[in-house]
Amino acid sequence: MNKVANLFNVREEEFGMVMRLFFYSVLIGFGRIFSLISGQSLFLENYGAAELPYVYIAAGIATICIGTFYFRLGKLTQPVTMVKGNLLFMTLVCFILYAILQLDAKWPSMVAFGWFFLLFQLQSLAFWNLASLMLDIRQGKRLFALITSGEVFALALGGLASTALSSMWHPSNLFLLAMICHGIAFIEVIFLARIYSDKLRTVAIVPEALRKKENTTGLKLNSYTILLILYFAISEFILIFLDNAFNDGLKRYATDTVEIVKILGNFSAIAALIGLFTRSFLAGWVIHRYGLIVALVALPMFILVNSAMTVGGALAGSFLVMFYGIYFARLSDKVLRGVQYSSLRTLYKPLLERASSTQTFVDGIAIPSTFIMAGCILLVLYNYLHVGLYELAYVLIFLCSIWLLIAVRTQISYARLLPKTLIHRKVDNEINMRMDMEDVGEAMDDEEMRSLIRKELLSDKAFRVIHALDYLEQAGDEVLKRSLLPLLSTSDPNVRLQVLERIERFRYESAYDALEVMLKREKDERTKTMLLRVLCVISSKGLKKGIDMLEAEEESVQKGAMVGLLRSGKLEGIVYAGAALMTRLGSPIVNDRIFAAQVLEEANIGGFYHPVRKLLADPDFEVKEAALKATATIKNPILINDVAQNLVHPSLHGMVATTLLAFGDQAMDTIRRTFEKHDTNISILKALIRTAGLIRSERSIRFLKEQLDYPHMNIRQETILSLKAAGFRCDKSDIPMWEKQIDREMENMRWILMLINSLSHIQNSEKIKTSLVYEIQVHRQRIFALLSFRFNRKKVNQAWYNYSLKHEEKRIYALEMLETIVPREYRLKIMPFIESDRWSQMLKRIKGIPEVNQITPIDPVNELLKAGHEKVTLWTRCCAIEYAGNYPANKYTKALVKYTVSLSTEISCTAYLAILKLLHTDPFLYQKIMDTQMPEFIEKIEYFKEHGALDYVTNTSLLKSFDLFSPLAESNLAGIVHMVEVVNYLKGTIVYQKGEVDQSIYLILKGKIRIMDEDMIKVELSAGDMFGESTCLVKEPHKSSAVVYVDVKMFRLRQNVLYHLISINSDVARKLFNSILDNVVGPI
Amino acid sequence: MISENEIPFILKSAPLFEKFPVNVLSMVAGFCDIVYYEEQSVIFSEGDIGSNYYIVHSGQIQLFRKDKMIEVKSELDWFGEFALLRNKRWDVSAFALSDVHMVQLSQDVLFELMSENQDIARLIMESVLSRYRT
Repeated sequence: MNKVANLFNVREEEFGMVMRLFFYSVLIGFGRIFSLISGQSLFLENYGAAELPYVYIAAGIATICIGTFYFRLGKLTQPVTMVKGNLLFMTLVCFILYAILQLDAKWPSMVAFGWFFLLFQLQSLAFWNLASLMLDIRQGKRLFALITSGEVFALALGGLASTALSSMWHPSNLFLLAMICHGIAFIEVIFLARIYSDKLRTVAIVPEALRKKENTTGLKLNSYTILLILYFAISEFILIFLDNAFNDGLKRYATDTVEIVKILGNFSAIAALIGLFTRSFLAGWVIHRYGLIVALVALPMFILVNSAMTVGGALAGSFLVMFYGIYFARLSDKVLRGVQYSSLRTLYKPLLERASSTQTFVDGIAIPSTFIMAGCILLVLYNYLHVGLYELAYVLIFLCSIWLLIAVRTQISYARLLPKTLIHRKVDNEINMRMDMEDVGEAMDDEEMRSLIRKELLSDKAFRVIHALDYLEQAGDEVLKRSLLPLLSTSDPNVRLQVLERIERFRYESAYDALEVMLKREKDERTKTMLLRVLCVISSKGLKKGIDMLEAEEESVQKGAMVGLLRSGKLEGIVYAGAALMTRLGSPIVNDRIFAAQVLEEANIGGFYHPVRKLLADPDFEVKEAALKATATIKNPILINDVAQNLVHPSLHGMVATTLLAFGDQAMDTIRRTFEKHDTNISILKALIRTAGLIRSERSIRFLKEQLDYPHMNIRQETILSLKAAGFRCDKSDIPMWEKQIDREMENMRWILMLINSLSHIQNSEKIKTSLVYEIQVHRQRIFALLSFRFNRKKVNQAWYNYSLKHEEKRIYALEMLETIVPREYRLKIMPFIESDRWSQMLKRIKGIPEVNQITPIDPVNELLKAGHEKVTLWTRCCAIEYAGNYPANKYTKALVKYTVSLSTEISCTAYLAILKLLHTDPFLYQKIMDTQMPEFIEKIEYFKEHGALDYVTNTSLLKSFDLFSPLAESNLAGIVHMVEVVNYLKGTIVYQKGEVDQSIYLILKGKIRIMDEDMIKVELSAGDMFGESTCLVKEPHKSSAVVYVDVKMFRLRQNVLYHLISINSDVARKLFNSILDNVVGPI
Repeated sequence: MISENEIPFILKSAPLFEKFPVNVLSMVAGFCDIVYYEEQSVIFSEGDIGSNYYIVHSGQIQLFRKDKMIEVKSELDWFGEFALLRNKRWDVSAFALSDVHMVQLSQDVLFELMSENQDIARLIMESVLSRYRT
């Protein structure tokens, strides 16, 4: 079965769906051929060719009517219901036709033949409405042609069968067969709807009451829809013209009827053979490989070339060339039209909810209209202008050229439309890009506009007032100054703050009295601080007041006075405030020093760097944090080195990075120097790289580029993501480097896949496998990042975001969009690695990897130990090291001993523990190690034997076993293991008392805990339970006490550990946040 | 039309951001999108996966389920908090009764902000926990 699937370019997981749709297509095909043969033969029995035009015209009109009706109905019902109704209707009509054909009259045969044309459109709607919902855009490109070959198959078989049947049966009985086919199709759709309910999801039907009468089309005529309609309409035009030209040529070429029949017979046979082959094998593969453009231009190209041949033949005077020109044109039309028709259904996909209605419009209204129009034009051409093959060939060349142009335009629009089908995400470094906002800027100078905005100042909504303030200030409005004072009485403190800020900025001295009055009434602390600050700055009267207020009781007032005095620029003020500041700076109380830092921050005077430097070196972390904040505001470059020195404290990494960022490019020298100094501490290096990425200067990008080959995966990961954050673009000279990086990712992924594959034969290796699967995702992230360096960054980033969502549909559109961005040479290389979600599917699609379940000579553990550091992250390596400890043989001992001297504590501890485990199982090993190893090593081993070491791997797995952390990847949890405390308490110990504030989460590993309220036992907790979570994140006293009932061993995580976890990346943040909601709040 | 400067204050009017200081809000505002929907357009359908939080700046939006009208959202109304936090499927559809301007915050941006800035992480966490915890 697999081989069959491979032959047709069908993937294993799609096989069932393809088979079902193929069957559906076969049913539709049988229904069509039976109706056609029966209708046509009965018609010809009763009427002649002369009556045909009437049938055409009637059918055309009926089709348009039904199409319009269908189109209207489509807005009120779900697509699947429409399909069901449609099939039921066809079943019913077939039965009615059968019934009336039993009457002894001529007219039913005319109706029956006319019905065929209607049926053709209805079937096409029924089939495509369903098929295009079930297959996604990428499958459609590959499989639509294959699926519709079921119809071709049915047409051939049905044709043969009805010839045989007609000798026994009256043709009208064939309508019964058609009825049965449609009936079965109806039942199949019911099943399909049930099996694929997730794909055939419902869309909102806007209630009648909400819809406006004049806007009921549901069809939006934008340029893309118009292109689509034009494309299909011209296609129809050409079909009719070509058919006529061919018939004309045939009439002139052939001498008698026998020859005509012979030529036609050959023609049909060749067409059917090539057609079947193209549809089932060639089309899907070619389109998959080269894109939709092939399907769009193939037919126009063929017809164009062959029409040119016809014209050439005419010019050269060779009728044979002329005839075969049109012969091949018609042949390629016959072969490719079906392919084109089916494959181009994917073109509707990007229209999303409008796809179905647009498709109905094209099939039900646009195409039949063209049909009628083309017929009329042909009548005129033949009867009045007497055109023949030669002239028609010219018309065809003309039409095909237009068609080609439209095809190319359609492809361009298609590529442009794709991003809109994805969730739009503002790219981080283009904050000022507003996709959907109209331009506001131009209206700035308009006086009328300004007076409107002035009225907004009186609004009772804070945001309107502040918007107006901003607007008028930017416009340099004169009236603004006058309107400031009345606004001070607004109830919203935000408005008051904004007003005060402007008073300070304008140095609006006459506001003084009003402000003084306000100071007495003001309740809001921030406003009060601001008030005093403004008072000190705007007038010398205020200066005196400020000096008095330095002694005030309230901190907020003191702060305002100090900041105001410092900012006033008057020596007297600075002296007094400086003295007060000095006291705070030298104070032994932490809060005083924090206060000083805050004052320095608000005063924002670059010259005052000295006290900030002192605070940066403060032993207390909170003071350091406040000082870092102040530094970020003041931005005096003298302080950069002092800031960087704080990197030695892991908990300050985030703050230091933010502060360095404030200096921008100025900080690059320091970053580079610090990087070289600490080149063993991975977390410092990561923090530095992250900062460099956010600085986004030429120097920072150069720095990052140099780190691309740093021989450590964690650093490499950070570097590439930082380059992305920096908005790095490859120029010509970077391309070899870029290609090297891409190749490296591919090679790594191939290696990882191979390891995963061979791990399936090794017992108990799930942990390594899980971590390797996670590595694949990380690799993909890097591939997308690398792609964004060379191709349209915005689109690649958007594609990545949608790709990484757990939303199948968005993922598919993202891949499709990526195909339109990345050139073919890279696309073919990269796609197999990112296309499928599951590694087992990836294995099949990547060449050069042994088949699944085939035993390989590679030892994955050994491979990881040997070359892991350049290919996978720290966590995967630790898993491999830990796993190596399980082997009794001394297979890995050498490698493990080597790892004990690793600079990373995680690795070396894991390696020591693994060796200890080995020593337990193998008594001879101990002696051997004693003989061969250095004394330091033996000392260390003895030490760990007695004291134990940080069991990095086990602790991580333990963390993950708790509900709160179970959604997170182990490799992410590994990042906090060193911050988790292991606590042991004896029975009777009180973990916390009621009323106490202790912002920690406890995870019980062993023993029992009772949560008590006074003397009442509220709940008893044991291993696997967690407590303290509800007060960990919100600063609140405990509502009950926790007492140890049976001796416990617990993990204790302080609040900052959780926030550290959140800061790893947004994905971890999302998962943890959701888990916290689940576990703390319960389902909301 | 919405100017960038008003976004912090529009945000502040919603309970989720009520307790945020203005300087933090202006950081959040830098990551919000301003979206525009023309009259008579469907903003999302029932069953769609939601990941956006909306605060209406101007215009009117009808929320409905099948033929049942649920609610009309207009100036400074907000919706989609669950969608923002939990990625849930919408249990209503939204339809623009007039031209609508909204401030939109998407989930990925929120979590990115949370992971980049601990202040925001803390504030969001506290805001959500204090309002939903029983």
